[in-house]
Order: sequence, then structure tokens, then C-alpha cells
Amino acid sequence: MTLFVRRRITGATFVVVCSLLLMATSRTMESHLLRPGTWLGWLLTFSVLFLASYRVRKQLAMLPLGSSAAWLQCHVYVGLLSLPVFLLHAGVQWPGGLIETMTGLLFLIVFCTGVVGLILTRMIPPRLTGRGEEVIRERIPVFIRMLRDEAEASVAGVKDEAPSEVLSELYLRRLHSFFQRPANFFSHVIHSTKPCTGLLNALTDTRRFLNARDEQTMVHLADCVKRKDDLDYQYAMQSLIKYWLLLHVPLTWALVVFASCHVVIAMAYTSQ
Amino acid sequence: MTAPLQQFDWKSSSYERPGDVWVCGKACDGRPCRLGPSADGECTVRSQCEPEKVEDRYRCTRSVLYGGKCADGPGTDGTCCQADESCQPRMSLLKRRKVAGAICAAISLACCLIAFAQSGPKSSLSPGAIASAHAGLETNCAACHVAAEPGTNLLSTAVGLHLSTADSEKCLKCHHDIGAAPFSPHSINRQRLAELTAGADENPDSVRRSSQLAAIVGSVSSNQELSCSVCHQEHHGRSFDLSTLSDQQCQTCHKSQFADFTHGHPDFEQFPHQTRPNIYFDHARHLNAYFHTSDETAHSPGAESSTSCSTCHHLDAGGGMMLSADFDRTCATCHESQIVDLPFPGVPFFGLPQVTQRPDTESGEDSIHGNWPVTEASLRDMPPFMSLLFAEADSGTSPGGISSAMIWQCKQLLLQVRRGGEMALTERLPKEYSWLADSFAGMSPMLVAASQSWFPRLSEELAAHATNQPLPETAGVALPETRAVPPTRGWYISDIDRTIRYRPVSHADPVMRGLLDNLAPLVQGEAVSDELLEMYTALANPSGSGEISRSGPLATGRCLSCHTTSTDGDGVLQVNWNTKKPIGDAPFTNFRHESHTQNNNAESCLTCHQIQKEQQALDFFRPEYFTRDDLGRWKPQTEDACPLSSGLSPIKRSQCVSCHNKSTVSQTCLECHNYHVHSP
Repeated sequence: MTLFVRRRITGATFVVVCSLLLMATSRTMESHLLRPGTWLGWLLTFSVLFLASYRVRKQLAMLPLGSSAAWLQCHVYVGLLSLPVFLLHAGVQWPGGLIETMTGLLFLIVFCTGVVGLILTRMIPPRLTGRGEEVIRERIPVFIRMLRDEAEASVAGVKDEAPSEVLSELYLRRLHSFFQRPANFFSHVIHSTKPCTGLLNALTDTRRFLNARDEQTMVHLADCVKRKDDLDYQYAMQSLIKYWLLLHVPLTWALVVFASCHVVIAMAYTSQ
Repeated sequence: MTAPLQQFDWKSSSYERPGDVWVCGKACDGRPCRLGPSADGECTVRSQCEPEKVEDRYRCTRSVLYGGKCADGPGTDGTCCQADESCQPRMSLLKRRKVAGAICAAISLACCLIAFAQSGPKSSLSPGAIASAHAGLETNCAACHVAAEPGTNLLSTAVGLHLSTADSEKCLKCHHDIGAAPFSPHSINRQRLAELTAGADENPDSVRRSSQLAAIVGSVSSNQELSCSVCHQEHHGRSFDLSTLSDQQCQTCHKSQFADFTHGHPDFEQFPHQTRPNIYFDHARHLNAYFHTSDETAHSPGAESSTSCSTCHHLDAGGGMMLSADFDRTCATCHESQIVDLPFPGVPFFGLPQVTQRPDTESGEDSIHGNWPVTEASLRDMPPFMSLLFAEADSGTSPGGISSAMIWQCKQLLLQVRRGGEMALTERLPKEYSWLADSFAGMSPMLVAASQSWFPRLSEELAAHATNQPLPETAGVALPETRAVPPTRGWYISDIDRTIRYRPVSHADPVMRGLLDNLAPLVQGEAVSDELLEMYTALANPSGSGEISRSGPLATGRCLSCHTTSTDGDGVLQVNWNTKKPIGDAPFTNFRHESHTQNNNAESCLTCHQIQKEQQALDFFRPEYFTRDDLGRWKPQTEDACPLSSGLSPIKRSQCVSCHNKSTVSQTCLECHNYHVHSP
């Protein structure tokens, strides 16, 4: 059993055991006329603050607050544990009122985006290694430009030889926009190869009109298209890993604000 | 083989800085500048220079960092020949995330502030709809929450600067009938709660582990004030039942806890006979000895026997309690004649008792006490009420009769009554017993008539006695015959024993009732006078002999033969005239007879109220009802020693369990028990 698997089993067991303990404690408190809601509310508040502080920890790298990997593990499992705490706290009834509704809604969205992010960060890296060249996302535009230059140079033809009209026309009509920027984002997200296959088929279809030299150019163009498609795949997948945070993090701060107001309201309006 | 796009050597691999907040505007085109934008988001590319004018010519000043001096040099007008290659830097993903976070937080904060600052109904702060019973208050948060009151600092309230029961105080504005101690468990005062707790059996084995677990995080204590929201939690929707509690919640504070009604619930102890009923009624005797005998009307000719429970009992309007019908519809057919019992001579209140020392004369009219027309049947002692009239006299009675001095005082009183009527009696009574005058208002005419009949020359006798003159002759004066005449109802003169007696007019006789009502609280004290005690004993005696010191045959027509006595909340003895006890406090237990009876037939009643079948049930005046005093007189048992069963076997828990168990109907605590013990 690898360390990673062992760690995952340990974490999952921690979440399940803690959930069961919390459920049992909540039921016991309810049956003794105590208020598990208040206790669970504080637990949930501190959980949210702890989860939100992960970003702060990353910005305070100079402080000896433990490794970022350890924080990430805590972030993941405390985040997963926060859902049963939320359900025990709020119950099956959906809250009413702006603040209560928004607090509940934001928590669920943040939790869901966190789970989606967790799934993406676990799913995408193996796929990235399995297709094309692994490149740094920030460099992908540069590599796209390099491929574009290479493709355009091929189409333009070598010195003293006129370019193939068929290939030139095809390039202008279909490949020019393809090589301009990362393309087919959603197709790559759903692992569809249809756009790339379409381009390759279009290139292949020109074979009957090409002489031997232009056919080599066409083969080279097809190779550029494949490599560009791999870059697009890398770009789409790596963007996914980064874009989910654009929902998760900003909504977390909104949740912190609403949760703080919820705490004030609950403490003020709840008579003990 | 295609060469890899990405090189990682030190020269061709630039260092990417994803933590930077700005990226080059040309990065998306694949041509980022090496330096990138500044921290402030400004492009650092300086492709153009500002040519320096030296004498009459412009000279290029471009730094080597940006390519050095250009070959073409500046134009003649001093403009740089290079194109402007600067870009508009873009925010990095990190920066966009931060901006988005700030915007989200700002919008959230604005929403919250708007919600807090909202005037009027703050529905935006409500955590959910409130129960339908309170729906009218939904737009008025201040009706239930101190925090919503105008001028209240929400933050100070949130940190707990208000009383824990402050909100609950608002509940009492509508629910003002919770009780005197609304925040005490069961709404009863601490002293009563302590008594009940002390009386409860504690079973340490019954404490669940869950209780111990709950104790770790705190527990609701019966010693603390309980706010309403401990049990009644709002904002759970329109259809939420605010009064629903689980059995375990109900038992939270209890010393002894158990699983459910079937398992572990304390057995009933003499239920429902812990408190005596207001009426002595022996169901066993009536059903077994009277109603079901072949000669069922032998005891009371003309009486009608009961055919079912509903003959005497009926549900109240709410269907909860089983009431007894009034006297005229139930007991009267048998017992009305016993109340106006004609053979019973009535209770003597005034009389001419035997004389202690008979004068040594032949005529019987001596010079010591004059005319004193006693008979063989005359009382030996003064009746208690008469003793009260002469309580302040120097000489009283002695065993076997009264003295001559007392005889003259009696005559003096009779003369005063003849002249002053009822007022003379009132003045004669000691002040502390002046209330008796109301009860004896009807006796003065009888006294006047009796004195005229028994002492025809009373004024002359008294005048002669006062001046030491010879007493007038009474020989030849006709006295009423000493034969027994059928007594009438109410006050009457009994010539056979020279007494004035009272016989009840009917059921609920006002004179008897008034006397017992006044006497019962007095005889309870230790300093009660013998006269009052005797009077109460005479009236309370169910044996009704007509003579104070002697018991006669048992009579069911006497007041306390049927009506019990009990002490009220202040410990004062009182006679229970009504068939149903007034409900001062709502009981801990509720029971709806309507839900438990089928067609109101006898069989359904007898399922729970089983008639006692022991032989003892047929004993007349069962010992738990009445006892005898030293003189052999019957007297009602005191309340503490007399848990009346009414001839019915106590209801056992097993009878209830036969229906109230897990497999049939509900057996929750709230099915049978009330929490708030308060006036309905």
C-alpha cells in the first residue's frame, strides 16, 4: 500500500468517524434538551475560518506554520467534514431570509466547488502526462506561436518554390484561426477529439491535389496540428485546475462575511 | 522525431512567476517581454527613446537593455524612429481571483448591512417561517426577541449582555397562564419541585450512557431557569409542532429514567385513589349488593336501580372527564328519603336537661329552681349549642344534669328570647362564635313557642326569684303532652324530651351545610372548645341517634355519610359538597375518557374500573371510610389515613400497557402527561 493510498484511507476514515461521532453527540444533546445547533454552529464557523486561512498560510510562507502539503491535507478533510457538520447544524429544512439563505447557499457552493477542485486536481494530472508534451501553462502561448510560425513557414514554401495553393487556401480558411490562440477549450474538457480529427481529415483530403513535395508539407502541417491540439489540451486541463479557484476562493470570502453576520444574528436572537 | 517545445536549460527557459499579479499584455500572443510588467501593472518596455539634442542634431539615447542605439537614429524633428512596442499588462489569474474575492466580500457585506439597517419587519434576518400558531407575529420580530427592539445594540446582545429568559418574558405576554413559576420546571415552584423530586425513586441503573455523554457538553438542570425555547424551538416552518418532545427529552431532568411506558415506567400506586373523592360511594356495595340483587328495591322502596355506568356518569363537554350526575338524578331515588329520615328525631340544639339534684319536695315544683318541666326522656346534658350559650356562666353542667343556678339562667335566656327574639341569642353567644347566629336564625321562634308552652308563668317566676319572693304556683297549668308526635322538617319542638331539634329539610340543607362549613375548619385546631367539637361530632356522626353521646342506627342520610372532608391548600379542613374536586392546578396526567370509552357502555368502563369482589366490599361502612371513637360513635376517617377506593380496584399499569405499547398505539410521555402544571 503506497503512502498516498494509506493517507487517503486515513483521511476518509477520519471524516467518517468524526461524522458519526458528531451525529451521535448531536442526537444525544438533542435528546437532553441541549442545543447541538449552537455547538455545531461554532464548530462550523471555526471550520470555515480554518479552511479560509489556507490561502493566508500560503501567503505567509515565511512563518513556520507547517508544510503547505500538510495544510492542504487538513484543508481537504476538514472541508469534507464540514458538510456533515453543516447538515447537522441546519437540519433538513432549508433556511429562510436573505442572510440565512445566502449563508447556506454559499456554503454549499463553496463546498461543491471544493469537491470539484479536489476531483480535478486528482483526475487531470495523470491525463496531462498521458497526452502530448507536459508544458508549463504560462508558456503555452509561446509554444503556440512557435508552432504557428512553423506552420506558416511550411505553407509559405521553401525558397524559390511557389507555395501550394491548396494548402495555402486551407491554412487561411481553417488553420490560421486554429494556430492563433488556444482553441477548442470545451471539446478538450469533455475529451472530444472531433475538432482535431476534422482538421486532420481536411488536410488528408487535400492529398489528391498535392504533389510529392506539397504532400510532405501537408504531413508536416498535420504534425503541427496534432502538437497544437496537444497544447490546447494541456492548456484546457491546466486552466480547469486554475479556473475552479476563481469560484471557490471569492465565494469563500463571501461566505465568511455572511457566516459572520449569521453568527451575530444567531447569538443575538437566540435565547439560551 | 519532433523536438520538444519546452527547454529547461538555464538560457532558454525563462523563470515563470505565477505569483505575479500582472502579466505581459503580449503573453497571450506568445511574445511576452522578458522583464514583464512592473508590480504596479505598468509595461516596462522602452522601445522608444527620447532623443537628446546635441547642438543642432538629435542623438539616440536608447539603453542597451532595450537593444542599444538604433542604426537609423532619431528623425530630424527629434522623434524616435522605433515603433512603440509597449503593451497593456493584464491581470494574472491570481490577481483576478483576489479582485473577485474582494468584490464578492464587498457585495456580501453590503447585503448584510442593508439587511441589518432595514427598518420595519426584518424578514431578511429570519432563519425560517414560524409555526402557524405564531404566524401573526412573523412581521413583528420585537414581539418575541429583545434584540429586535428599537434601540437595541445587536452586537452587545449577541455577546450575551441580556438575560437568558429575556425573550421568554415576551412569551408570557400571551401565554400568561403558564403558572406562577413559568421558568421553573413544570412551572411549579422550587419547593414543590423539591418535594416531588425527593419523593421520586432514584434508580442509578436507569441512567443511560447518553446522559453521561450529554453531561460532558453540559446538561439542562432543574436548578436553573428554563427559557421557553429549551423545549419550544421556533422558525422550523409553518407546520412544525412546537410542543413535540421525545421521551428522552422529557426525562432529561428526571432522577429516574426508563426506556418507555412498557419498560421501566413506575407502576401506578393506588391510581386513581391517592386522593379521596368528594363523595363516599362504594361501587362494589351498590353494584353487588343493591343493584344486582333480586330484591333490589328492598332497601329503598320505590328506588330505581342503575342499569349502566351512564346512568350516573356522563362525559363533560370537553370529553375529558367523567362527571357524576347531580343528586336528584342519581342518589335521590334511594337516599332522599333517608336525608329527611322521619324516624330520626333530628339534632337537638336546645333542651331542658335533667336536674342534677332533685329538690326534696313532693310536688316537683320546689323553691330552688321553680318550674322545670323535664320528662323521663329529657337529655342528661345540655346540647353543645346550648352549652355555648352558657359558656361564660359560672356554673355549668355536671354529669347527669344541670345545676339549679343554670336552670335560672336558662329561664332568664328564654325570657330574653321571648322579648328580644333572635338578638337575645346573638348577644348571648361568645363573640368568637357569633357566626352561629346565622345558622340558628330559625330557632328563636321555636324557643319563644317552647318557653310559652313549657313556662307559662316564666316572667313571674323570674321576678319572684329576683326579689326572693315565693315562686308562683304552676300546679294546674297545662303543659304540653309528652307524647311523641311525628317530627316535621326543619326546626321543631320535641315535647317528649323537651328539646328543640332540627331535621334536614332536604338534600343540601342550608342550615346543616352552613354549620358544617363553619365548624370543619375550627375543629381541626388543637384549641377547639369541647362544645364545638361535640357539635361537629353530632353533625358529622353518620349514626344519627339524635342524642349527642349515644350512637344510634347507622344512617346514610347524614351529610358526612356521603360527603368527604379534605384539607385545602392551606391545610384547612373543609367539607366536599361538590361531586368533582375543583382543579386548582392542571394535573401532571391527562386522560380523555371519551377516547377510551366505546359507546359509553358499562363494559368499556369496567375494563379499567374493575369492581372489587372481596367480601370486605360488602361490609357496611368500610373501615377505610369510617371509624369509631371512644364512645362508639362513627366518625369519618381523616384524609391521610383514608385513601378511598370507592369500591373499585386500583388501575394497574399493565391495563394501560395492553393498549399503549410499541405494537399498538402511542406510548410517549406527552400522550398522558402534561408538562406545564398551571391553572387551565
